[in-house]
Amino acid sequence: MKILSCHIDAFGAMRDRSFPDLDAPVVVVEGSNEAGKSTFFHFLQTMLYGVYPVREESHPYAPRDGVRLGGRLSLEAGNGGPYTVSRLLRSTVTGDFAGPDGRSEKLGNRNVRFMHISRDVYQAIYALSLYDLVALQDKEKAWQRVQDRLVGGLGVDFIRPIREVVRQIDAEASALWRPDLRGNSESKRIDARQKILKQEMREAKVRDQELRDLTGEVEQYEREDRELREERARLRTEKHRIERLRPIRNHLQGIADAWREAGDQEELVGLQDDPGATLEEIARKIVELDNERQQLESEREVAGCVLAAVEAGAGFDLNMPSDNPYDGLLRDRKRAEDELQGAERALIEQARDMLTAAWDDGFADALERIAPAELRERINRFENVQRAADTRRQAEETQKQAAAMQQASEPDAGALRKTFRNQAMLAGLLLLGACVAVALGSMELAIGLGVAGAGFGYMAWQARTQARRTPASPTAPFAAGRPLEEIEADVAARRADVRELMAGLPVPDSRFDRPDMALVSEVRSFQDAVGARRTAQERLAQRMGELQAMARREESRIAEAHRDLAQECASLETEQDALKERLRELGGGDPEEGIRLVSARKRARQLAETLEEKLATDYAGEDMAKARQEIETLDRQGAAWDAADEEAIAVNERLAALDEEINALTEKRTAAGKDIENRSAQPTRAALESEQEQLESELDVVKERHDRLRLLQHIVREADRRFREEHQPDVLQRASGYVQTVTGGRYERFDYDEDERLRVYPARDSQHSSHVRPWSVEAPLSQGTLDQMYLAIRFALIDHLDEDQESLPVFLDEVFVNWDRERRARCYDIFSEAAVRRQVFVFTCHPWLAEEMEQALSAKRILL
Amino acid sequence: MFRFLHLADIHLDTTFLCRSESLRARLRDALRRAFERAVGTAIAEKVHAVLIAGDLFDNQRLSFVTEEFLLEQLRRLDAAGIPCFYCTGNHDPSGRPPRSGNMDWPDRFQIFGESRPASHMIKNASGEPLACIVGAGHKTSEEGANLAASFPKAESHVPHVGLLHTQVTSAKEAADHDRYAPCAVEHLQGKGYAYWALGHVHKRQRVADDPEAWYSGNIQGRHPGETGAKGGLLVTIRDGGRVETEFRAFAPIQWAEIVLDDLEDAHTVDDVRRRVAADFSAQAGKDAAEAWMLRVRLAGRTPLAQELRDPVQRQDLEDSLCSALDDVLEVEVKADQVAPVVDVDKHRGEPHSLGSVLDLLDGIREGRENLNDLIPPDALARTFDSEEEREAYLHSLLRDLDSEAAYRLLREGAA
Repeated sequence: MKILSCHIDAFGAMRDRSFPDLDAPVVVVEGSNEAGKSTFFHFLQTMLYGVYPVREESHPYAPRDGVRLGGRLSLEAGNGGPYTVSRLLRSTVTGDFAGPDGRSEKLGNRNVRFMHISRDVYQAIYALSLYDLVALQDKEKAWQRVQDRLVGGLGVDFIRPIREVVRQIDAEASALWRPDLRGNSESKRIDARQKILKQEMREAKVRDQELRDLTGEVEQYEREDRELREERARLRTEKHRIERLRPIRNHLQGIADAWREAGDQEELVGLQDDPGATLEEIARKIVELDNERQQLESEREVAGCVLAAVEAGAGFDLNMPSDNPYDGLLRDRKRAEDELQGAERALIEQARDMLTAAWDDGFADALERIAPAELRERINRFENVQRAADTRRQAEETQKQAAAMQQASEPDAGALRKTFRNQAMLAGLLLLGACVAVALGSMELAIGLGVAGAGFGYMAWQARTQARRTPASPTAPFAAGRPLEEIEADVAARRADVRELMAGLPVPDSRFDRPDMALVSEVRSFQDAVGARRTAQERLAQRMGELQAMARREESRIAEAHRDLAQECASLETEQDALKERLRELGGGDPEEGIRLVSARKRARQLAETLEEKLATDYAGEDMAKARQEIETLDRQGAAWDAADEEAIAVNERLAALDEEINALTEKRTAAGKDIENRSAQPTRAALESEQEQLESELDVVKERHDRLRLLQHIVREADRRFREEHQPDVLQRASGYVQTVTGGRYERFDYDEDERLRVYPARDSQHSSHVRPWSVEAPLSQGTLDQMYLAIRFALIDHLDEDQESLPVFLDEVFVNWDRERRARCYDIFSEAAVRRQVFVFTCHPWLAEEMEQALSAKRILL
Repeated sequence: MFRFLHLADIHLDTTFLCRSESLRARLRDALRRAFERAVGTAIAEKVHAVLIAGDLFDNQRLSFVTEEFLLEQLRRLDAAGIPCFYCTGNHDPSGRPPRSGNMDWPDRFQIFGESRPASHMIKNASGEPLACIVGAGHKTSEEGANLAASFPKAESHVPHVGLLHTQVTSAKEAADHDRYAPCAVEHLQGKGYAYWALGHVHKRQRVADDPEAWYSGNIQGRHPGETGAKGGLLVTIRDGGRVETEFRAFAPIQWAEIVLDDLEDAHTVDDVRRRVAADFSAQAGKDAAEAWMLRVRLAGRTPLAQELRDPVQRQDLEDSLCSALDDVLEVEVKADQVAPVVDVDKHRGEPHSLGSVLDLLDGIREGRENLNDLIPPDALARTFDSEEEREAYLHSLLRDLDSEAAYRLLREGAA
């Protein structure tokens, strides 16, 4: 088939372009980049195969300016021509195909009938681009792809290499299942789990039987346990009867017996437990009361004596018992009496010292009338006047003497001053010592030293006074003043004042010659003695009063006690009589028997109560009512209460043994229960078989997936084998022809080795004709050689596809741009040979290449 | 009036198919709860009897714990004065009891274990007959005889109820079950029975209306194929002979299956998720169930074939569906039958490997090629008893293999 011409109405950027001169074996379409080479190629393909895609908006070459995609193409087929194809893209694609006879047929969007292969295949095989050759630069895998694509897949590039596909399927299938169980296939994993499950199922079966056995054991344990517990309950009842109820019952019986012996206690109300003792006690009390009465009589006599002594006012030498209640008061009275006597003695002695007459109580009033302060005042006044008189007198005397002793010295004045100094110094020392004693806390010493100091002070003052007087006026004239007589009269008056104050007291007159302060002290002392005597008298009177009051109280008390004793005695005697009467009655006329019976019944009652208390204590917490009920029930049932101790021991021993047996059974049952629990928690056969079935199901799926993949793998391999068988020999034969041509006979033919690797045979030479070794079509063959071989195979493939069909045009796009002249020249040879059978379109942007091909191949140049 | 609860195919301690052991345990528990509910319903409804039409047990798999459970439930019935009639089936034939040794059946538990039919008259409190239960059981696990044919004719006016584990050949989904004790509907007719309580086929259905003959179905679905509500039939035979049946659901867990085979327009996994959710909502709205086990079967050509075949993406889809759908315990997505969207036809007859593969596949389908010759026996994981079986199996694998082949052979973007 050959394209003769075409007209592009609209296709991509091309509008209304005509290419009338395409009728040549080799057409070189020349144009710069973006000139429309690709658009032109796709237009030709669209004319031959139809518009695809059919939707205008998605067609890459559909004009965007509203013009419809379309055009015409004229071609010549093997059977002649020309044929015309026209297509137009509207809402649908319309197409017409007209033959040389002018008859037209609706083509629609179908391909032109001469295009005997699909668009995809055509595009993949008949259009060769620079990329196809550049891809061969990857020396590692390039020729493997060449083989798979060109030879294995007849050149289509959208089919993955069969070997790759088969390898992938094989890997996927092997990951699922392998007949030899090698590797880690899914089925192997499932198989491993199934093996474990089988073992677990066997164990589950055994476990289930063990569960049943264990349950049987537990039931047996429970039966035995029930029996043992029943026996234990029975024995515990017996033990209860023997150990608990029997003592209670005995106790209760003892209580009942005691109460029976105690009889009606109402009869004994008011009687003591031992009436004999009661009688004796009453008699003893009566005797005691009598003794007490005698004692009271004695006390009454003492009280009478005391009263009599008090009233008599003297004579207290009473003969009284030692423990009488008056002892204290009598001693006080004696002491007061002694004190009074002492005071009186002191008063008498005082009177004897001061008075001219013996003491008479009549002096007491005169003495007490003297106020010591008044007396001191009057004495002071006297002393002042007296001193004045003395001074006046002395002055006069001195004046008189001075005259006499005018030449005489004054030895006395000097001595006096010296005496003054000595005494003053001593007084100072003593006062200082007193102060020291005060500081040391010795008050007695301080007082002593103070008094002594004061004494020496006074003496010093006297000496000084005298000394002053002495030198006063030994020679001075007598001072003028009151006359001595007047002064002495005044002295007498002051002395009379003192005497007046002490009137009523027989004080000697000499005592008033020169009354001084000592008189005051004496009066005071006298007054004190009188006071002391009066106080002693009052105290004695008070003691006497107290004695009298006490004696009277005693008399009253004794009288009252006497009455009480009499009443008590009478009461006791009444009680004694009544008791004897009741005892006589109870004793059937014999009081002694009565005493014995009462004592016995009282003891019985005490015993009963003691037993009851003991019962309550010993069985505290015991439901006694229930115990009594049980005892009564057992009594009604005629239970034996007289079991021997050996029986009780046997019961206890058996109970202990039962406890042990029950405990042992409980342990066994618990252990079995735990075993049951543990085993029940383990998976059952159903659970394991569920997993087993699940695994079976998964294994089925895995196997089916594997088998499907394996089937696909075999089908693909078989199809590939058939395909190769059908196509490869012819392709290889044609390729061999081409390779001889382009290599100038250096290589003769292609074939495949056992591993389906493409090989090329170099030409035989005369020397080694029988030993030609093929070369693998790969490095180290030169890149140029490999390119030639590629083209050879490609053209062989195209020839093969066109076998017995139309020879379809071939499109080459910049295939030779990177080739050197020599390589291009060899390829032109292939073109020349190929162009004999088919039209070749070469697209290039290089004018030099277009020109070279024009010359070498007589190609027609089309400029875009 | 005679009222009874018709149960069948309880399959105690049966196996459950799902991937998680915890869910299998839950399903086992669900089966027990279903039976417990059935017993509770019988007591609450004060039925005169409970009839179990075979396969109470599942082979010799009865565990001790399940046995204890069963006996406890039967004792509940016994304590309520309700007799229970049970005929053996192919999974629990009388010749191969569920466990060795005798079980401690309650007094009112009656077993029909012989292939020769036996009768048992049920009477009311005053001793008047209420109904006659006629039953026969399987002696072996492969009972081939038509047991229904040997059932005697009703001899009195007391309503007769036939109790049998059988495959009525015309029943729906009968082919899914082994052909044991087979019979035809006519074998159930003409005997004057008021009702046939049948077991074996797990799909609840009425197989005849004169007389009424029902499969009650099993009480808890066991696998994704046993979809729909499961339970028992509360049957009332009125004095005039009129039979009323009322389905009572007992299964706590219901299986559901959603098949999506038109995913050509699904472009994201989210599209698939939405489709499944919508379909499930529609299905769940029809049947009330406490919990669901959902299987999603994806098939046909879809642009998502590659994603859906990817275990990780499939797991994501399952997880997201499980969390999105209410009360769904597990979602299993089966995508082994999805195929990529490939325009296979345009490659047919083309001069390349794919064209050759497609030619070969066409040749296989058209019988021009022998599949057994294409792949050696040891290349397959499955084993077969015959060439025919192998070939049939291989043919079953051809589904969508064209697309699969094209998908694998074509370069990315070339499809």
